[in-house]
Amino acid sequence: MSRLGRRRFSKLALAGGGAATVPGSALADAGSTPNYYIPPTTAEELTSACAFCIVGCGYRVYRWPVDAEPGGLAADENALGVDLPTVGLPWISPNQHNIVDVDGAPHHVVVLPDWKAEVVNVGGDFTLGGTLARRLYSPADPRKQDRFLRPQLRVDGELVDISWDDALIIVAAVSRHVIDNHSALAWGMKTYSYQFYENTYAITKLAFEKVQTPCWAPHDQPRDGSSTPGLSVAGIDAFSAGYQDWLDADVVFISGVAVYEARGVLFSNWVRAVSTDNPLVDEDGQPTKALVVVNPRRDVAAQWAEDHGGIHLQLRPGTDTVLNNAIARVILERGWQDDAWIESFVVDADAFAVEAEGNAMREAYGATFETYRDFILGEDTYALEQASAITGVPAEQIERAAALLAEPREDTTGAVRAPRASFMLEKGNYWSHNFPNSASLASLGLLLGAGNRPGRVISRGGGHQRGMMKAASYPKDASPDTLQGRAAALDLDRWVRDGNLRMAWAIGCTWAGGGTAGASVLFERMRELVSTGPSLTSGVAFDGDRLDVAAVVETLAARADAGGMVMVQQDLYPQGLTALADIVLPAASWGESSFTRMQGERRLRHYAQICDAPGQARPDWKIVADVATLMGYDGFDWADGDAIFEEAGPKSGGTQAFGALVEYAQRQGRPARAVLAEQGTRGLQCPLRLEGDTLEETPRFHDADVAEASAGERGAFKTDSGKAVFALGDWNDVVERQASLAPEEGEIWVLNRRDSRTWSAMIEDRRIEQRIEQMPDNILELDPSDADAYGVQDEDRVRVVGRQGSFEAVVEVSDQLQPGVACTYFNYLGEVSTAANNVVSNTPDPINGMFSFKLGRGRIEKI
Amino acid sequence: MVAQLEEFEAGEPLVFELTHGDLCFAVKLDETAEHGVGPDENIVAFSTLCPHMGCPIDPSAADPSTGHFGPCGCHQSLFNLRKDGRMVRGRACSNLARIELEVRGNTVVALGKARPAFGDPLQEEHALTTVAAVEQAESEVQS
Repeated sequence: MSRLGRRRFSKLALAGGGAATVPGSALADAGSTPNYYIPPTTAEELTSACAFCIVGCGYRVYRWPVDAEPGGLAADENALGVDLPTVGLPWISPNQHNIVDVDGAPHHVVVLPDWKAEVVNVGGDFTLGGTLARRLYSPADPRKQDRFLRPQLRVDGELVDISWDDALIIVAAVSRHVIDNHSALAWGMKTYSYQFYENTYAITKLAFEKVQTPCWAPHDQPRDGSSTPGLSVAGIDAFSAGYQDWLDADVVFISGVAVYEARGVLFSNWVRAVSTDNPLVDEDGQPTKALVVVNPRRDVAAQWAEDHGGIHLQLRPGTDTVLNNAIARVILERGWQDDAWIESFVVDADAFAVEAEGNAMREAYGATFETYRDFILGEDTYALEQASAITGVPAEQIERAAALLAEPREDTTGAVRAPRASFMLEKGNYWSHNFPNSASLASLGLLLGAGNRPGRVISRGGGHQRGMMKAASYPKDASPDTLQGRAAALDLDRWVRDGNLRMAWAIGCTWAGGGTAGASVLFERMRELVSTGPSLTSGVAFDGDRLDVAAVVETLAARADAGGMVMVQQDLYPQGLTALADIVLPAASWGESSFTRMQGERRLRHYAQICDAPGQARPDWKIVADVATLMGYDGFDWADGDAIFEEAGPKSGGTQAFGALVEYAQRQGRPARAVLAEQGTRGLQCPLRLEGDTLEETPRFHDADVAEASAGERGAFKTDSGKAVFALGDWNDVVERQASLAPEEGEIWVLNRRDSRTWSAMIEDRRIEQRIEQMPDNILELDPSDADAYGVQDEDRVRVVGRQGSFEAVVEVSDQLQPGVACTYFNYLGEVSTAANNVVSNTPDPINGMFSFKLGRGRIEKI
Repeated sequence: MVAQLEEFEAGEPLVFELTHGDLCFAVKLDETAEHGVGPDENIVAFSTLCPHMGCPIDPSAADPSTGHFGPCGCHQSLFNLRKDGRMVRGRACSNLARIELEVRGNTVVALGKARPAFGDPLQEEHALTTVAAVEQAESEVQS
């Protein structure tokens, strides 16, 4: 025992091995202790990627029968091929082991971060993915006993098991009735956008190509459409960057991104790390990298920025447009813009005229550099003093941010040059004032020559992985909605509230939980609609012990005819929507079937099937295909996921294009997914193209080094000319909306965010002991002054009451916020009663029609 | 043995080795802690290794008033010593390895780890599911 100074502790720790290593005796002791989890040499090795965030780190999976001889500690006695326990990774923790069924027989399974990875997650870091093994269904896991194992039908108010054949016939027949009698505008789907190509292809083939309904929306939007319309106007794909570009930047502008909390490896390995390619140096001559973090909350990245030569701009909620434009104004006033790049890669007046023709958003909000410059310099709102007054960011901080981004400085060669500045945005930016925030960020980036060069990119940080593969375009022509006179996708939530939808099919999403604004309003309306008209009783539904399918269909169809709504839920576990569901279809997901999708730097990967799907659960594509076939549609007779992948390949485009992989595999007479699987955790970086017999990848989507002049060419921007367009994000367009959303007397801003301890709606995490213990309640962070004002303190339970609903949370008094601003987790448990979105207005923004999820408000009541 | 009770001062961590080179620390917090020992049930002990990737965390990073420990210098994980070493924020998917303590007379004694620390060999008792439990669950379903 000893009291220990920092110096002595460091010395002792280093003697034990230092960072990322294991002190001596634990290893020595291990040598004589059997390890329950060591994969034997006979274990199968599979590869997959994390089920959670956009980064999609690679994982190695080992499985072996429980009656097989366990592996040994020596490298030649185990499937990892390393002496165990080793110094550093891999370490097999309790959370990385489970027992699952494989072909009906129990198997050990160990899911480890790929400690051999050469891309994305170099070094085998792990966080949420460290519990992937426990995400898998094990029949003995007490927390997963509520998994949907069989199709169910609500009879007498309770869900009862029915057969797959009956369930599929009922869904197909009621769908057919609704479409035939009430039109495709009465039949809709609310589905995830991310849960693997095979599934989303099948879903969109049914909804868009066959039914041609506009009543479809992704899990987190009221309607189909771009999350980042400002980038779209500018011609920038939201996932154009490669991770090397974030590393090679001298300064990264991070706008509304929980880059540490929800994309940890992206932050640690790429964003905060200093480039080895001639970076700028600090005043001591040391290589350096600065982060400019824009966030009303002082999160980990903000703290890191302040500690490492960067800056945190703690703006008032919703004022990003003013801040971005004020920084741009300083840059223009000081002549720091990249004129040469703008001349080469941004449209001139003639080219812009062509761009605007037939593109209403670009016509309304696009601009040449000259127009953008005059707009920024001519609007007093973006002058330092006024911008500071609106944003709450001191004028000198705005100037310093501009200097960090643009002022020429010395690099490691001694040359003075402009910083390589990159721009990352996420929901804190575009879920406040969607269009002007994303537009002003895009233009700020273009001003500094970012978008298509090493270390100079503009991209989303990303939320979920990229799993949307549309079989057909969204049928906007069938939508009755317009926005500012432009044709628009249908607002599905409003459509439901107005009682227009007669059949709703929700796949893998909480919808009236975390997926809408004013969650309680939508949920209660849905409850009314599923209660309108007849419901099933056992007397109607059953003829003795036999389900009377015809009577069931007749009853549910009658409800649709009576103005009610029939609800189908297709999912893994019960959640809020289950209380409304007439029919439950049990789905199989990550690890339970083979899938594909792309991660945040466009790496397409194969996700191996690890274990049997539990009970009678099936992958979503199979369920959708069977229903579609029963509805009378052709083209859904896929034998397996390989067939879907190969059908989708030629239709894929843009950043996702993988048709070349399909062609490459066909030349070899092999399934394309098998070729992809051979790439392991590295995957293939899309878009892919064939050069002779070689499959070529794309490190950077917009790329000045390969850019062709015309549209659609490799490396070009996504415009008709292939050049970028400045986007005008104007505060004056949203100043009235900001006022309408702002807190009034007795209220406080209620922001919401991600948290490093869990993922999204916590569907899996609430069933993993470790995870739910780490976050047993929702939290409400308050500045000390606000805690005093509301008479609450740490660990008090409070109700946050908004205009359309409320939710409960436990107070955490925090120095990370500013007075008048509270912050909570955005989707605790995915239930309507816990939804932070209850205090968010359900009126979409007028430009792009999305919710301002990040601008909630409410008053706080101690319970 | 870790220390005599009177040797503990709030916020002054005492470092000890559970076995040779296996650095742990005990600390007296301002308030009662889960699994705390001593008259005020506020003395706790943990491994110094971050359970994320095994980086050692300086024991002086323990805050007796909040119970927070960290952040880890490698990936900024922060733990709560008052609440069984649970992660408050960060990257670890396991809690900090707590050391079971017992007071014998006036002496605080370390009994062993309540859960594995980073790198420790893992035993059957740490498994979420065991072969026996799975076999029983499946036999119940079949019956």
